[in-house]
Amino acid sequence: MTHSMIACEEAQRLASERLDGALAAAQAALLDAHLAACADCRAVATDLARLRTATARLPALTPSRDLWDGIAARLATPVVPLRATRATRMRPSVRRLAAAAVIMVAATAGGTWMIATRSANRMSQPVAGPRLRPQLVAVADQKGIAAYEDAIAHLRDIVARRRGDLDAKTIAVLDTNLKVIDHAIAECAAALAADPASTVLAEQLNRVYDAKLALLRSAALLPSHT
Amino acid sequence: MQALPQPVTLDQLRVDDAVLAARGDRRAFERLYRDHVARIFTLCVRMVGERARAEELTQDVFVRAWEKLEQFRGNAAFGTWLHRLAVNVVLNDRQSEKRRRDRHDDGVGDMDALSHGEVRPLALPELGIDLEAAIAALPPGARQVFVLHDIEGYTHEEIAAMLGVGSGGCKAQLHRARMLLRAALNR
Repeated sequence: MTHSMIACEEAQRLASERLDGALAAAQAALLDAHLAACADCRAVATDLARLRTATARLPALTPSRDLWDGIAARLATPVVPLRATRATRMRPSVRRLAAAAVIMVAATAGGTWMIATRSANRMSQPVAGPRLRPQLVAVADQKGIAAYEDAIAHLRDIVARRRGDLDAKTIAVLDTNLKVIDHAIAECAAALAADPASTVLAEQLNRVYDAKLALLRSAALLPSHT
Repeated sequence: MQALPQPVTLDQLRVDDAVLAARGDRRAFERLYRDHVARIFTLCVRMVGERARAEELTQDVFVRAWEKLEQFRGNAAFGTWLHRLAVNVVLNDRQSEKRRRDRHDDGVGDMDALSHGEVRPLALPELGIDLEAAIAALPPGARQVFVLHDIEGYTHEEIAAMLGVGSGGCKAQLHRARMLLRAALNR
């Protein structure tokens, strides 16, 4: 059957292509003219559009069984044994972090003590005028700290879920260093509370938070203990 | 102000699981498997129209992914990389199957079987299972183009490149698949 210059077969092909938005204006006009005169092709066009909608709503399917065991059995053994991998990659990494954390915290604690002492002396002296508060201080305000704490909470959550994947020594080193860093944060925060204008203290607090983030990120990305 | 570190997102860690897996971490790879198995299985079962074969192919995809993980550079989402790999595995399997059977499964007769005489509206609200069955019953060539285009969202040009055919042939297969599905669901 033909209506309005094109055959039904051609009209249905164009109706299908229009679903993909690929129809030129002239073709669209021919199709519309045909559809206006042909009830069968109108029904086809309607069905194809509804089929497209139904297809887009198809749900994901799941296998009838867990396929992992079959996959795991076929995975080639890694060239480097996992124990050797941990010894050469993971442990030194954690030890380096531990050493860095201890050095950083020792420096922070010493620095904090000196700064706090100087601050106490300075607070008794007259201040010439309003002190500029450089950008670093803003990081140490409540908004900046909240941003750090959000990131830390997020990473802590990931690390908590990975605890079963990590070996006991790694977890012990991690916990010890987090305690040391938390102590340093508390010390810096207390000193900063006593001298809120101190850019040096703000910078120290920044560094300690950075160290905590770096440690947690490393822990989140450590290879699993398998 | 000194820039604050950006929080690590779970999506970023998915990429990192791929990095860990590339280093030989099977637990990271298992996490990737758990995250992506449904999507890969769904692709496979719709492409081949058979659940048992789709399960075998899904396993093949993940084994192949493990072997090729070193080539994953992290500049695309892992899921996108894995999906494209799965398409290649399925298409290569089909080519091997065709060579084994030495026959063409895409005759032209099925287009002739379409009935233009009876026109009934499709019962789409309860179509889900019927539609899956109708897709599975399509001729392989039409089914693969339909799945890749209408379900997985590839363009005709991308599909034509995957299949080594022209985009015109790809469009013809798609129209053919849609008309066959309509006919099947109208029965």
